[in-house]
Amino acid sequence: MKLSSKKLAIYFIIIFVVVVLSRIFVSPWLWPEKTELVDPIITLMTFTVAGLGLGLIYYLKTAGSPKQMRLFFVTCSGLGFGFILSIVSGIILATFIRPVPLLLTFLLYAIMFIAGAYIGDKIGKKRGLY
Amino acid sequence: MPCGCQSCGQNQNYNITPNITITTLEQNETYTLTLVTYEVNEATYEVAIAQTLLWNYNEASDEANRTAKFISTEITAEDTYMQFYSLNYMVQHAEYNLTLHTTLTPLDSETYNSSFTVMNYAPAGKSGLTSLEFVEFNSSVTLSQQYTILGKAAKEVGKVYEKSGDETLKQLAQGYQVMEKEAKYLSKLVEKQLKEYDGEILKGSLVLIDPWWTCIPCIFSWTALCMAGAWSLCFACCAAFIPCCLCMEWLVIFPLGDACMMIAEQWCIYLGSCP
Repeated sequence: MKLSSKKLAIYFIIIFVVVVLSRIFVSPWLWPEKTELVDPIITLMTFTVAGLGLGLIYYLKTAGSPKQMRLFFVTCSGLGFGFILSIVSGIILATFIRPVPLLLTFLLYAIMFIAGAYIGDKIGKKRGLY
Repeated sequence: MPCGCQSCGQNQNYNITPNITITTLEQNETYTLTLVTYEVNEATYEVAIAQTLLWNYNEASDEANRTAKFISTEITAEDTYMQFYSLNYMVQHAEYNLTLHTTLTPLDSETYNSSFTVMNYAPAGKSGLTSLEFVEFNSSVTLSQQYTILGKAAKEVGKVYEKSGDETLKQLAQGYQVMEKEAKYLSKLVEKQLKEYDGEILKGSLVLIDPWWTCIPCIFSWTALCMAGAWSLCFACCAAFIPCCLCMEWLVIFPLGDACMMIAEQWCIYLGSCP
């Protein structure tokens, strides 16, 4: 799906507005017992993260260089896939060593971050992102 | 020894369960002499255990019942002799039960070679929130000073829990505040009433072994990694495939922080970082 920068901006603004409205009106109704969803600081931080993310993606999509897009995509993939992979590898590791030293789990995460970044890079290249 | 593996494998009929007989030879309010006799492979061994109550403290109030005992234990077996002291402190409060046990190995009449303390706090009527501290001292401190330091250590741990923001850990902080109060109370008690035995302890470094020390950083770091992972995957998906940007809707509607903390808690228990 290829959008012009104007259409992309409108699309991202709509997403952000819906994000804000959903958080304020829908979340407390869905999970009334969760104080996290009505906490103003956490809510504000959530909007900031979503806004910054959308803004950054918009910039990368419209004016960013392939190198910048690659850095963003690889970092995000590393954090995302890295977490999933470190859980999987941690389950295997914990069958041999328990308790698993905390530093070792972070080391494992660092390794899996690299693995996740590598996977992300492959996906990015395949999709012609950069 | 009862039997070696080689002997057992050869179907020899060895009695590996010793036949133990316990006889109280002498007993009064402050002194108990017990003889433990046990038989292993038709050989009889005898161990004499003499326990002397050196100090007894009882305090009953509307708030709590406090008892403390300082006991000297002498063990004699064949040509072996050993002596150690133990201090037991118990508090029964409407809201909690607290026990403290210290074992002291004497070097001479004024100095202890080493000490080992176990302090256990359990909130009354609640399960799953029991906190246990193991304290070993190495620096030259007196018995009463040891409890003062223990109180300070408990205070510091309590502060960490208090600041955690997690409701479960905040409840633990209350326990550490009680530990601090009781350790200081005992310190003053020993200083005033147990002067004769408030000797210097030579060995032992202060080791505060608490699984929650690894638990808190584990939970917080993995919660952060989980949240960062979820947002990052959404951003990566959004960058690669525009309709995927809608994943942000789910991330903001869903209580991600709570969900990630729940995952992190279970994960840290699985890893062995949390009890």
